[in-house]
Amino acid sequence: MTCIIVDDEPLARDEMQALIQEVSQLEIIGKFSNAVTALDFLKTQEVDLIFLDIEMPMVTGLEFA
Amino acid sequence: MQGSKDTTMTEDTQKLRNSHVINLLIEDRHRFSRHAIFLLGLLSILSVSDFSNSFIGVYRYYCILTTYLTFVVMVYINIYVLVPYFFFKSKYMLYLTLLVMLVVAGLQAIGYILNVYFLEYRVANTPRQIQGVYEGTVISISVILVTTTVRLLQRWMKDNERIAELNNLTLRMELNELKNQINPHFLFNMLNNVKALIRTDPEKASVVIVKLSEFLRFQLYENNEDKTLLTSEINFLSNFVNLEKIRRDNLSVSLESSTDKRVLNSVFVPPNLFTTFVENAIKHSVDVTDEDTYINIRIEIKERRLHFTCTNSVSKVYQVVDKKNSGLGLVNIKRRLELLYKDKYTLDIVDDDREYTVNLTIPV
Repeated sequence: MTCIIVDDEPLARDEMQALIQEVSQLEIIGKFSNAVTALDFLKTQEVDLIFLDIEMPMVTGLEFA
Repeated sequence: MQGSKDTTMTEDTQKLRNSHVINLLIEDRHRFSRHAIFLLGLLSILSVSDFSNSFIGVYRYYCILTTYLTFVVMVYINIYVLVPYFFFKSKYMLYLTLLVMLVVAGLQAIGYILNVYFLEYRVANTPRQIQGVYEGTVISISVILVTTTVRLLQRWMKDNERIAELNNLTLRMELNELKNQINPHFLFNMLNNVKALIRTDPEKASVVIVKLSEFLRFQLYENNEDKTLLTSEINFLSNFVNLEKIRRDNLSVSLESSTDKRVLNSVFVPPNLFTTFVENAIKHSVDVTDEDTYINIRIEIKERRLHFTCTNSVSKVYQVVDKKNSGLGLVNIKRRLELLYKDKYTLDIVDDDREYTVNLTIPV
């Protein structure tokens, strides 16, 4: 299963990555610091799972969804 | 208790304030009415007074007019010259002396004019004269006393209101400062960061914890003092921005001073003066397009003045919206600067669409 991480804080992304890597079934194919770059990526590629931070500048996680 | 005494004074002042008579006496917008009442009142008193009856016909009116004008001149000299320049400047003996001289001069002038110019028109003489002088003195003293008292009352009420407002402001600010001592949100963020760092970069986690504890120590202890070493304040700001830097991708921070370290070490400033500006810089330098963001802080001491400059990059696309605190931080720090330095500080803000710069100078 593929997933991406979207969070504006680099530490949160790293933390998420470390936690996910303990679960071997999930493959992280991208890390994004804002909704814009994440959406651009999603136009080119599909993923099974998105880890989304709700509180981000400009586009909140909810709007993104 | 000091607090309750001040509150009772405020309440009493409030009750007084609500009286229409007092409002008439104090407020600027009633100034015209006050002067009108005085001028017409004085004229009426003089008209019905006895002393002018020693003259006949039209000269009776001349007599009243002369006396009236002299009184008016005396009173206005008292209100606009003697009271503000002598009484309010605490030169009481000088005030009293000048006042007596003024009254004597006034009465002499009246007597002189009446006797010299209008002598021919006098009907009755000596017994009336002495009584006239007596009447004149009594009237002038009462008139002067009343007008001086009105002036004093105005001053007193205005002072009371100012004191009450200052007390209120001080209390509110103290409360705010206490509330600001530990920002729970900031602490929450920092602890989360440390948790993440322990796993990925334990060395850095250690450093963050140390910086955080220094930061908190400053907030808790040195915040309560009136003054703190400039070097401590600079360290605090440095810790602050570096701690926040962890939460961001591309933020670069510089905190510089070309002033000699010994000078920086010998200067004292009120604590937390710059925190609001740095907080704002951190908040507003957020960018959503992965562009490089920066905050540049510079502190210099030149000719007994401290120059604080804080520049942060501004995102062209993203306008920061802060619902909770919009603008409040800036208003509060301006008020605090006013209270601390009156007009001896300068605050300059330059806001273009690429960067935002704050220039603050204070005397040290």
